Amino acid sequence: MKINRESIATLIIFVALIFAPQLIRSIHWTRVLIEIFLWMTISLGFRLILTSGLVSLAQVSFMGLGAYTVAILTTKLGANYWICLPLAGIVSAFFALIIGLISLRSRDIYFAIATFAIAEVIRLTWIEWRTFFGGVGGIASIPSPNPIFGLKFGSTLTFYYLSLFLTILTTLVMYRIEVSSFGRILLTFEEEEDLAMSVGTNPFKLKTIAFVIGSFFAGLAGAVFAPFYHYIGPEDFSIHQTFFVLVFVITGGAATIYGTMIGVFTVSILLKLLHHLPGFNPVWEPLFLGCVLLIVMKFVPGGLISLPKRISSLTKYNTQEKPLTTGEEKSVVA
Amino acid sequence: MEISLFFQSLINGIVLSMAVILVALGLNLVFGVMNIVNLAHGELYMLGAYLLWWFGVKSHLSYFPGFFLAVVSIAFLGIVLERVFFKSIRGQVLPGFLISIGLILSLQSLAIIIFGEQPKGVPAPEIMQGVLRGMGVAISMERVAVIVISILCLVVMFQFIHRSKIGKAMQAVAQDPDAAALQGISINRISSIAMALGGAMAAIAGCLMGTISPISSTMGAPQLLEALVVITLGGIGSIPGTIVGGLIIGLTRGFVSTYASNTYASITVYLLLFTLLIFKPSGLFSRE
Repeated sequence: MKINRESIATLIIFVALIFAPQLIRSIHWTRVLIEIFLWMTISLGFRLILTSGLVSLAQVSFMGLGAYTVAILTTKLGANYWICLPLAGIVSAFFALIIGLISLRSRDIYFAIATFAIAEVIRLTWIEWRTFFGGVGGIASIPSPNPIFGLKFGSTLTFYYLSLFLTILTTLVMYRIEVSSFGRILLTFEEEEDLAMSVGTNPFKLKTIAFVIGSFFAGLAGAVFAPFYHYIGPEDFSIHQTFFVLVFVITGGAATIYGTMIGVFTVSILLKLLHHLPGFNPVWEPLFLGCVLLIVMKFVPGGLISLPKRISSLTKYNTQEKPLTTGEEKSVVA
Repeated sequence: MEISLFFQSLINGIVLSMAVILVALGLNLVFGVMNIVNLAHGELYMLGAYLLWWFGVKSHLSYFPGFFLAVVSIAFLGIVLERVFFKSIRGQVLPGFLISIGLILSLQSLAIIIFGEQPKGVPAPEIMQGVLRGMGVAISMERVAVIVISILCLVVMFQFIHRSKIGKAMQAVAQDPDAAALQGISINRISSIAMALGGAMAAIAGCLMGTISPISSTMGAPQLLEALVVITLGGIGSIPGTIVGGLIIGLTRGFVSTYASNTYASITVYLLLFTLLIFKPSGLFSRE
């Protein structure tokens, strides 16, 4: 393996994350980190879908599908958690497959509308079908995961490592996709779909696959979410949370995987700090995120990750009228 | 009794159709001219209703001046949003989605901060009160008023788009912005007018619905989703399609909510969208 700055940085971050709970010594902030890892998993899936030019407004609902799968199977049937975990991903992926097959055949706008609609249908079904999904009250007392390899699960620390593992797994898969020909073709769909088709690719098929993969990981995140909080309800997975994911991804920069991760981390920490302001009101959260999204879209469409390049190009060429973006940053995504 | 229940749902369905048609027409207009699906359109509907309460009830202006001021303010807000946010991304669908989601988050929280979390109600003015009776059916006057005002708006709108110079310019921009620009049509001006008109229609719908049902900060999203289903049903860019689509959706909602429940009505409407996407993805009335 070639040793360069990126791999050293990755190694340092990895080691730091392994020892993070011992370093910060605070249950509160460890739980914050777990939340961030779960958001990262969903955001990376959302970003994969976004790279093909699609906005999925149902990602958090798919996370909810995973969470409800685990909650119902473990509370009602007493099933083993480690069997439910992959099953949660599969249920979400299956739903995504159906929605994708229906809505991706024609214009991309219908995909956004269809995911918006399915998010509402899923939420209303949870609320309406009380005997099965618990209605507005949701499902309570979801048990901790069963012991595995002699390891007992339930403490914050074990959930920390479980969610860290999930995030690393997702990142590795996303990285493999990014460098594969599949990932490269996906990137072309937003701007040059006709060209991509003319060289023999099938946008319908590839976009559906991207959507299914992204939703599979959302389902897995939900499967960790359910036993971590021991309680889930329909309002945990509303479309507003999907909007939050979108803000994370765009703020960090959707063009790269680490841009997305930086976005999730920065915005989540800022949100937590917002809670400590005097006179905090929960309504500040969506207001803050909405304003962040608008400011980013208006002034730094490449996200935080594009800032260093922009600043350096500003200082270098401030006498000349030079375009601030490189060819790579032509659109929001690519 | 059976007949009267049927008529009640019919009238309810028509009222709901009118509101969703007004919202969907504005959405369609903005999409046609700028190629942007403004997901924050439902928030303009919500803010319109709140402003009616603000001007008409809280500031003690009476109903109709409040109505007028609310509609004009939202039209103005539409122009501001177009100039500040949509102008630079005109023609790009994906950034349009992202910006409008930013607007949903901020406008909705601003509404809660400014107007408070309690739902608001606006009493109907005296001319719109009372009940019409006939053939064993009772219809409240305010519902009749909603239907009449909406139809009036639709007729004016239709005439404006098909007869006036600005309306024709809008159609030209929708067909081909470059060719329209070559004819000396200012796309900036037409886009602002489209956003203003769209906002005004959303505000009218919001004010009308705010008169017969409670006003809350979350009323925009379901209305937007329904309007999206309507323009999918009617075909993007078609006015007659929007009207027929709106009637189908509104009547479905009216009847299902009477005979089953509100939640079932929503689920039916959204599942209708999927059925449509399976069998006729380009809309019922498109020639594609």
